[in-house]
Parts: sequence; structure tokens; C-alpha cells
Amino acid sequence: MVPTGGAIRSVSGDDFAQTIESNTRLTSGDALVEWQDEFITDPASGLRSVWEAQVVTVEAANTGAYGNGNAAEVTAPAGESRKRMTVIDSFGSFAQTRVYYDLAIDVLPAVGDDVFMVGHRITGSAGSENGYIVVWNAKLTNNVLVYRLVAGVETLLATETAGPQIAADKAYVAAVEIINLGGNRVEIRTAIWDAKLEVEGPNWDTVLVDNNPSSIKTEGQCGFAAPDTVAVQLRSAVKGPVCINMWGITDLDFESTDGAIDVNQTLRTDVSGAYGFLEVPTPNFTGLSVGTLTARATDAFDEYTRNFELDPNPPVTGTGGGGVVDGTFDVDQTVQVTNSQQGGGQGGGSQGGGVINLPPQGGGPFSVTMSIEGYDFASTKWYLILEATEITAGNTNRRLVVAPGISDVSNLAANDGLPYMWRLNMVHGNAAAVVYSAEFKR
Amino acid sequence: MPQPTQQSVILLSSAAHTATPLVGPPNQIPVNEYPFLTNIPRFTGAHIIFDVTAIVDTPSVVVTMDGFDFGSETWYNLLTSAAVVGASLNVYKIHPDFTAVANLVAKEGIPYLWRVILTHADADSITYSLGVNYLD
Repeated sequence: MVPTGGAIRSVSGDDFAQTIESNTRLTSGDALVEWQDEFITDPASGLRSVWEAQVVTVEAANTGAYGNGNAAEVTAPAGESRKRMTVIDSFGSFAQTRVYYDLAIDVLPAVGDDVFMVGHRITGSAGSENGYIVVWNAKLTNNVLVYRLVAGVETLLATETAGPQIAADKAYVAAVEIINLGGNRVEIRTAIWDAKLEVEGPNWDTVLVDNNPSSIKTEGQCGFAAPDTVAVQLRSAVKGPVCINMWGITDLDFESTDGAIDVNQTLRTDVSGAYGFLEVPTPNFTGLSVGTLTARATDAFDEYTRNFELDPNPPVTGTGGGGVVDGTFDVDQTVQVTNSQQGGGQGGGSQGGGVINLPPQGGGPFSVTMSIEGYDFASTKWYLILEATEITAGNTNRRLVVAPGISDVSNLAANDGLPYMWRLNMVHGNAAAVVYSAEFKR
Repeated sequence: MPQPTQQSVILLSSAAHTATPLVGPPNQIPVNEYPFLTNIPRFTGAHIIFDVTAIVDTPSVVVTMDGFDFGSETWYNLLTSAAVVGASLNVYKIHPDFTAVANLVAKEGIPYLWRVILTHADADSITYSLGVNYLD
């Protein structure tokens, strides 16, 4: 049997070894489950599965013409359970690539089972092909949907929906393997490998959308992610080609929202460089869109995208003392706003926010912290409503959103209201010059 | 500096007090034995800022925010603060969309007639101001 949390690694092929190596390595005599076949012309019918085998040989690298680094094909002991399966593949460079690897699961894992499996497939001799979802060292307990993708068709292998159960240190769940077959070279690119859930169980994150965003930018880990990369599982069904090498993923949509955003439209992606852009529909009629995108994770694809970030929006002209600061500063700056349209059912006056953008910086260490403050005429004092996290590096931005009814998100959003007079306050931690612009939105 | 408007109200400028003050002028509303405010033009919520800047001995003040029911001609409580005993800037919040936090935030709407009472526990001097920022 494969030991829990135990050794799984590729035993052949440098590229492959690089991507599926996990934890500790197997050695001869270790128990594992193995499936391998080199020349299967029809993956739908040609799958073979072998389980409860033992490693016969472990080769350091692929040397065979057909990539048979660990070609020992073993058979299942009679009567053995098929619940545990590890697929060990081997391949390398091929003059005539015609290699199929696939995953066969005859018995679905049960709740509580440790599941070790790798599924992927390469077809064709040139061009790009889909990769398979890889479920790696996942403990199938809760909130893990495990899919197998064969020839573009997803097959749900296991679904668990209730309660946090994934051990924090073993939640290597649902990475997606991207396979690029170019010429006669086989490459494997992994978006997030050994993705680790940030917290156990349902792992929700939110996206704050304010002020008519034209798009939101995904910052996924597009290839070559290091082990232990923290994957923040967003409440989003990210199924688009969010990065250039995610060919096998199609369609993208958000399922719901807590806020004012109308998400009853499909979000689209634009494959460009290392990023994808998800178009957000026009927000609500008030001209102020404060909400939380809360599309729900529905399958393993979610692990791909670590976070969403709004593209910079055009500044919004306010009333009274509102405005923008833009330049190089070494002392505190403020952007003051007067909500003259507030009250009397006119709406919209108590919600808004601000953004500070820092381009790449030179110079010495610096520190800037942006906050939103309200003004009290009785005491002639400003009082804190929401504060962003400190900025100490360039090429950074911070956004703050305040509105009644939105979800509180530490250092990002406050379920609060903006009074008649409020301001963005940029507090410098030292006298170092910092280049930035800041603007309010309401 | 912009001047306060009906959206931002100075109920009490900073001054020393030794007893519960009346807040807001009495008018035709038949409840003028208490301080009160009229919510025009119908804001939804408010920040109530109670800024204590100096104390003598050991004063203690509780801030109580009530709404008025014209049917029963009685006040009902919206939010009651914890006792304020030292110099501090205290912001109490009332809004139907807010998340309630005991003694700090009330998930309530501001009615047409409401009031703020600053109840002194003793006669020790305490210097404070009281302001209201209405919210949509």
C-alpha cells in the first residue's frame, strides 16, 4: 500500500520528475500503484491500470527512445482494492510522439481515503494539448471535487461537500497540469503544484469591485509554480484560459455576488501573456459599484488562480474638496472629499473608497499607509474608518472600499458609511520620497 | 474648512460638564424634557462621535441613543455605549446594514425623531464634544 503522505515521484523523465515529485522519494521495494502504457492508440479503450504494485526499478532519468524510464509493468495482486492508485509515468523526447498517459480509477475513493493519483494525457505529434487535472496527495474528505478530464470531457470522480476536513499540511489538492507538446518535445507545465489550501475546509476569498471596473485581472500561477505555493481558493469558477498555457480550460463565469455587481453575465477571458483578464459587466446604476464577487469554487480549477485584482480604474471626480494626489511625496498627503449629494434619499453618498498606486520605486526604504477617515465637526477631529496595509515596495496598489452592507474584509473593505466629509490619508512612515498617486471613488 | 451641514451636526462643542446635558433644542415635539434630534432629510444611519479630551477625578458617562415612537409617545433604545471614563475618541454607529457590535454598532435605522443622552454617573468634571455624521 502507498503509505499515507508518502512517497510519490516520477521515476523517469527530467521534465516529468520535476513536476510530479512530491514529498519523499520512493525506493526499490516501496509499495505503490503504477500504471503505464506506451503505445495506446485509443485512450478511451486502451487504459490500463495496475495497482498495489511494487517498485521494481527506479531509474534516475529517462534514457529510452520512448521514454520508458520505469517501464516495469506490474499487475494487480488478486483481490486487492483499487482505491489507492498512483500513476507513475515515464517519457522523454520522442521523434514520433504518440504517447498516452491516463488515469484509470475503477473504484471511487471513499470519504476519508487518501488518494494518490495523477491524471494527464498527451496526444498528437505536434501542437498543444490539454492537460489533465491532477489530484495530488489529497485526502478526500470534504469540499474537494475531483475531476478527471479525458478528451475534453470532465468526469466527476468524487464529491464531498460538508465541513473542513483537509489536513492543512497535506492538502495538496487539485492542481492542474498543463502539457505542451511542441515539435518532438514533451513539456509539462504546472500552474500550481502541490497547492496548499490556505485554511482547512471551505476556503473562501473575496474580490472587491468598486467603481465601474472594466476588468479584473487574474494573477494566477502560470507555470512552474514552486511546491508549497499557497493557493487561495476563490469563490470563483475559473474555467477560462487565465494564462497563456492553460489551453484545456474553457468557459468562465462567476456564479453570484454579494454586492451591487450584476454578474448575470459570463465573464470572458483574454489570453495575453501571463495573465488573463476577466471582463466584469457594468455595475449598478448609481455609478458606484461596491460589491464582493463571490463566485463559488466548483471544481479543482479554482486552485489555479491565487487572487483577483482590479485593473486601475479612471479617477472619479468628486465634489467639494475631493481630488487626486499625484507626484513624489515625503510627507503625509490627503485627498479630502465632501459628500454634497448625501442624504434625503439621494443615495450613494455613504459609499465609496480610495486607491493608491505606486509605480516601481527607487531610493531608500519607505513606508506609506493609506486610510479612510471621517471628520467630526464637533471635535474638529478625523476618526478612522478603514486602513489599508502598509506599503513598503513599489509596483503596488492598495484599495479601500466603504459601504453600508458590504462584507468586512480586513484592510480592504468596511461595512460602514462615509460621512459628509471624509478623506484618504496617506501617512508616511519616514521621510523617504515616494512616488504615488491616490484618488477617491464614490 | 467646510462648515457643518444638516449632514454633519455639532450637538455639543467641546466643554466641561458635570451633569447630563440637554442635546438639541426643544421644539413642538411633546417630548422636550429630553434632548433629541430630528432626522431631516431622512438619513438612514449615523456616526455619533463622543470625544472626551479631559477629566477631573473619576467621571463616567454612558451614551444612550434612542428613537421616538409617536404612537406610544415613548422612546425606545437604539444603542447604549459602555461607560466612558477617560479621554478618548468614541465613535458609535447606527445603520440598518451594519453588523451589530455590542455597545458600539447598532443594526438599526435612524428614525425621524431620536436623541442622544449623556448620562453622568457622578458630578466629576469631564470635557467632551458630541457630533453626529448622518449616513445614507
